[in-house]
Amino acid sequence: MTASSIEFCRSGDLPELFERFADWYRFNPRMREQTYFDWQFRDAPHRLGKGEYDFLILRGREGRINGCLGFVGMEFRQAGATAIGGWTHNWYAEGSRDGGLALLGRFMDLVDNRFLLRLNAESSRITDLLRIPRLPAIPRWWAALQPDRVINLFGFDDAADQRAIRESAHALEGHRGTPLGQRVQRVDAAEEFLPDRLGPVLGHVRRTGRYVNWRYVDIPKHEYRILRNERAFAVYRLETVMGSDVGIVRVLEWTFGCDEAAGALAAILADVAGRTPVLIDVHCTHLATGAMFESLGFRSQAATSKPMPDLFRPTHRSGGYTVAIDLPPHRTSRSVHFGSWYITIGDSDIDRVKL
Amino acid sequence: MNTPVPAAIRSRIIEILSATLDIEPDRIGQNFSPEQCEAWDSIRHLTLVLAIEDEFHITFEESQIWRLMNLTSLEAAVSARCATPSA
Repeated sequence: MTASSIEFCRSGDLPELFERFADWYRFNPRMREQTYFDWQFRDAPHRLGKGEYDFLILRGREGRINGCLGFVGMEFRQAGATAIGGWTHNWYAEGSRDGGLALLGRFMDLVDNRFLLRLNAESSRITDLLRIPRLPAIPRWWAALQPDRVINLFGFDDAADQRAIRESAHALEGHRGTPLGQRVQRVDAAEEFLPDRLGPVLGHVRRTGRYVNWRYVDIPKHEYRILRNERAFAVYRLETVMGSDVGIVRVLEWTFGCDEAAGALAAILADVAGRTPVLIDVHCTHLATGAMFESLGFRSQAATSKPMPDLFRPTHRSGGYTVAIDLPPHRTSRSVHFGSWYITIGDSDIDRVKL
Repeated sequence: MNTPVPAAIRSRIIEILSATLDIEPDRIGQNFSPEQCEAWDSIRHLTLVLAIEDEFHITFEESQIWRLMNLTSLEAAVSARCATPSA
């Protein structure tokens, strides 16, 4: 094969790897920070590999790193059973032809239950050839908090789009509840939050306290906020729109039921009110969760003819995040009802703040 | 000791390699691999494996797929699978 070796990344490889990242992920300088790398690939709650990092590097014959694939282990529930699986991250092969497939193969040798996020066109084609069920974009719902600012800031010229944006703000205001829950810094490691209060959930990564603390509290240089009551929780953060003084509220987790939703949302909006939020959004595969947000005034991503931007540093319309689930039996025609899974862009670290 | 590969299997694999990678059959030697062929990328490799499975009515183990990266290993894997009654 063209690639001369695939090996687990060691700390001694990091200077060279980060040099490659400077080219491969030049808009995400945080990827080159060791604290961040350690947190994600060394300190995750469920390690899958036996290397120093759960991160594979591909070296060409000349010894240069020309590809990589990271992975993050987790526990997931499916139809009542619990198992170990892994998310892929930073799957990249630089002009090495077969290298991308060789990396994926090594990952597949390590774990039977595979979850892939944010695939590009080539990696999506590979998953299709392997008959891995794939959802082209995780559904997204948004609501305008300051509709005129949203319209002007993101260039919505179409009258129908403007109407949809204003209607979302009006509807959201009409459903404003009395704030409930409390913000907490951490949660008890032994707790577990179940996302089925809005409807049956076929599968989801377990939101144990240990996982939640790792993912949202211990992550370097990110400020997530946790709102909870005795039964449910939400995680959110505020991201400033580059080049402006306004922010976007991003909801990463949501397990509150219908009876608590308006109050929990009111608590979140009250918490961020001083930071001039103009838009709030949530990405989630679980359609019942999306339906609940719609009932509060949120609109689906398809509500406007010009898509609502989903990246804000800088503002960009990405087209969404692909997710694929590869559970045994592999290489057979399978179907996954993604609308019954609870997957958000908080799963593992796809919600990565750029500088 | 390597078992000789039947000529019919070799010939058919070379035909599939040629068609999938858009390369003349006479350029495909015993050590033919992605190093000799720019077009042999990840997607073409999977396409190639699926075409071979279809042609010979066999299914490779998933873990084999990534290791069939030259003509020799493809021939050996096909021969082994064809020799297995349940393949």
